[in-house]
Formats: sequence, structure tokens, C-alpha cells
Amino acid sequence: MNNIRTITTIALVNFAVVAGIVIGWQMAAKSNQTSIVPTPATFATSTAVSGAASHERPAPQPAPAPAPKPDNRCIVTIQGKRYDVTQLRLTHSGGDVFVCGTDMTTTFFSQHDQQLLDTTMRQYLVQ
Amino acid sequence: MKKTGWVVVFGALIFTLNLWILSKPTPGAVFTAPLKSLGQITALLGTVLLAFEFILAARIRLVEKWFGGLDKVYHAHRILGGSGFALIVYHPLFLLVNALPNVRAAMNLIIPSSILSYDYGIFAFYSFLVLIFLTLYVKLPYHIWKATHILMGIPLVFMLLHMLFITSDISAYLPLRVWTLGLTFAALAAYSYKRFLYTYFGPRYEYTVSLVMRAGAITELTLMPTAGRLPYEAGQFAFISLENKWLAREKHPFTIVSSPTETALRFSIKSLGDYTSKLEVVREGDKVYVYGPYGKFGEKALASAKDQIWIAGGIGVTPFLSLAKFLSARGNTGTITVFYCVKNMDEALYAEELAHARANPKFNVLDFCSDIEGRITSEHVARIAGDPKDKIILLCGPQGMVEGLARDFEDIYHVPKHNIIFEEFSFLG
Repeated sequence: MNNIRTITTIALVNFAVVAGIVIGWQMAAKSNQTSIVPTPATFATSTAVSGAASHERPAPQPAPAPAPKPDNRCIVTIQGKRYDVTQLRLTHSGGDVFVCGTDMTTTFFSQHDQQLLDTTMRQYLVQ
Repeated sequence: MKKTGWVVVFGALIFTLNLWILSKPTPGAVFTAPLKSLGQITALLGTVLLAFEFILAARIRLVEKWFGGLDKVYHAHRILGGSGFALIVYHPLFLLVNALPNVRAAMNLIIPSSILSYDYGIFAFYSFLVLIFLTLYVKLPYHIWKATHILMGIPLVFMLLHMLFITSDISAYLPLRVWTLGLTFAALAAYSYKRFLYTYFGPRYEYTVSLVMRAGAITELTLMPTAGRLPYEAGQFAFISLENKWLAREKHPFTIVSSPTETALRFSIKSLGDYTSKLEVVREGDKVYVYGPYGKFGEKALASAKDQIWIAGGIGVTPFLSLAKFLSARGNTGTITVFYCVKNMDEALYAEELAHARANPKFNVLDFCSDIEGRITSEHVARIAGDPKDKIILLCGPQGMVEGLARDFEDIYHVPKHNIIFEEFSFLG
């Protein structure tokens, strides 16, 4: 029984160390997400103020073209091809592991195989 | 020691390993993501071992036969449970490392989230962890330890749900799915039988306490059958559950002292733990349920015509009382030299009873007092009983004495391992 206790202890210590590292990493990642990114609204306001300062009598301008609709899709790249995983990330059995706008080839193949990419994933391919 | 049981367990492990390799598009695919592969195979092999752990605990006759006695079954049960859990610990560990540097994916493996299939696995893992920790590292009173074992069904159910809903190698390859789920369902069935049905539908015999005798730390119970007699052989043991309002309705294993030829069933119990120290409350007329019989301790002694050496340490004399009574009456045996080892003659409570066997010229019974002659050694035994090499040796007593003598007989006198017989139980009275 002592041998069993020893191998179980080693396994538990290993697990505790790795889980501790992952939790610490996650906490550090969260604390780094505090930087403020200007929103489209604040950006528009500052442009309007600076425009008023430089032109006292603005000449009539043609109506501005409507701003392009912001792309809220989550696109990832796998093997050089782009996949829209906006919907998939809501139902993915492995959870929302997607980092939008990045190449996730390595992550994909650490969990899945080529067959899945060629079949199931085809529906998410961005043409 | 019978090896059939271990052959079955190792066969199941190898079969699982082969099915897992077959679940891959090519055998080489197991090396493309080595950490993920390690995460998968540790889970599969750990599941197989844990499934056998539950099956072994159900006291199934066939399983007892495979391992050569229920004591050996429980020994294997402890080994499989501990090593199976150790493998299961490595399952999330390898997957965690594999998921990095994607911390979000890694966190999903250790913290419950909205992904139910993962959550089942996480609940199974943490509940196993708590219960195994209590079993292996904390010395608990028997009734609490028993409760922790009863709760083992909870992680087993979560483990089964995790396997049913997870999308991985076991969902992708039907033979592997059928095999692993089948084994886990068998484990759940074994657990349910032991937990809910064994008490009523197990090998149960109803007795009544007819005589209670006490001498020092020893309580001797004589039971008379109420409905049906326990069909046992000399040297076997049984679990007894006493119906007494001062005692918990627990089943405890004790060696049978009486001979199978007697109607009365007799147990000699030394006060060694929480339960046995409370036996003073037992009264004549109390109802007793006896479950069994179990054990193969006397099997070879009863079947062989070879010369034998029996060494009993203290309360370890109990199976020999039954064997001596039965064999001295039956005859048809080789010479049997019995060493009854005690500290001094005041402790030799059964010297007189054992001496009855002396009526049979084949029996040579010796009282061995450690206060006078020191601790018994293999040299003592060989000097009195002759070269033990071709004899059958039965040992029962304190673990240190039994293990030390068994090792010496094997190493010094080259007695074949299969001729040295002892029980694995340290808690049998």
C-alpha cells in the first residue's frame, strides 16, 4: 500500500503544480486586460471637435458615405484558410477556446485531425 | 497465488490500448500530438483499472476464484484503485499542458464552466480526489471510512456521464466506446449490487447468538442456525452483522473457529478496533446475519497429503483451530507440525483446544513462547519440523511475523512460493 500511496502522491503533486501554473497564468492574463482601447464613439467625437476648431464656416459638404458596418465575426485561420467560428464558439464541445483574428492551426491539430478540418469545418470556411 | 485475476486485468489493459490505437486513422497518429495521446491513454487505462476496482469489491464468487481468495481480491482492489486513480490524475494534467498557451482552453479542464461534458469529468475527478485522499492519507474510524467508500458511487456516475457525452476518441470509435462504457456500466452494476442488494440477496444465513464468552481482549461468539447453515470449509471466514441496538449494523469479517462438521458456528474475536472493542454489549439471543463463506486459506491443506507446517501468531490461531479439528477427525493427511506462538502461556488461550489434535499421531503441536525462546524464526521451525522445502507452510498472525517468515522460507530454504500460504487480511479476527 505504501507504493500505491507514493505514486498517487507524486501524481497529485504534479497535478497541483500544473493546475497552479495555469490558474496563475489566467489571473495574470486577466489583470493585463485593463488597458483602455478608444471606442468608435469617442473617436467620432474627437474628430468632430477638432473639425470645428479648424473651420469657422464650414462649406457645405456632401453627405458622408455611411461608415462600413463593423465586422463582429470571429475569424480564425487554420492551414492558411479563414474560418468564421462566430456560431461555432457558442456550441463548441471544447468550450470557447477561440482567439479571433489569429492563426489557430497548432491549437486545432492538438485536439483534432485533418479529417475534421476537411469535413465538419468546411461549413465555416470564409469564401 | 492464483494469477488468473491479474491476467484478466492486464489483458483488459492491453485490449484497451489496442482499441485506442485502432481508433486513430493510422497507428503513427498517436505520436502527432503526444501530450493529447498521453491524456487519452491515461484516462482509458485509469478507467479500466477503476472499473475493475469496483467489480472486485462486489464479492463475486468467480472473481474470488480467479484471485485465489477474497483476501487476495481485496488486496488487488486496493492496488487497482490507487493506481487507477493515479492514472486518472494524469489525464487532465497532460491535457492541461497540451492546451497551453491557450489558458482559456486549459481553464475549462479544471474549473467547471458551461460545457457540461467537461463538467461531468471535473466533478468526477474532484470527488474521486477527496474520497481517495481520505482513504489513503487519513486514518478514519471504520464507520466514516466505510461511508467514504459508499460515496465512491458518485464519482463513478459522473465518470460515466463524462464518457457518454465527451466528443473524443471514445465517441469516434464504436468498439472502444462499447468496451469502455460496457466496463464502466459493469462497475456501476457491481457497485449497485454491493451497495443496495448484497445485504438482502447476498449469501446470507440467519443465526442466533447462543453463547458469549470473554477472556481478556477476546470475545468468543457461538452461533446456532435459525434458517439454513453456512456451507463452509475449515479455514474460511465470513462477514457477520449483529442485530444489537448498541452496535452499528456493519458487516465485519472474522475467521470461523468451529469445524464444518459442527452445527454451531464459532468466532473468536480480538478487540483490535472501533467495532470489536464494543462487542461486550452482545447478548445471548441476539440475531446475527452471516455472509459467506469466503477465503481459500485452508484449501491446499485440506486437499494435500504432503507434510505441513502451520505457524500461528496470537489470535492468528483461529483458522488452525478449525483445520486441526476437521483434519484430526478426518485423517488422511501427512504429518502436521503446529507452532502456536504467543508471548507467554497466559496468552495461549487456545493451547488446550489445539492440544485435542494431539490425539491424532500425525499432529505435533508445540507452544512457542517468545518470552522464553525469542521471536520464532525459520531456523527454529526447520530444527523442529525438518527441512521445510517440500512441505506446505500455512502462516497466520501479525503481518510482520508472517511476511518475515514467508520471505525466509523462500530465500533460505527455497520453499516454492505456491507452497507458502497466508491471508492478506490484517483485520481478520
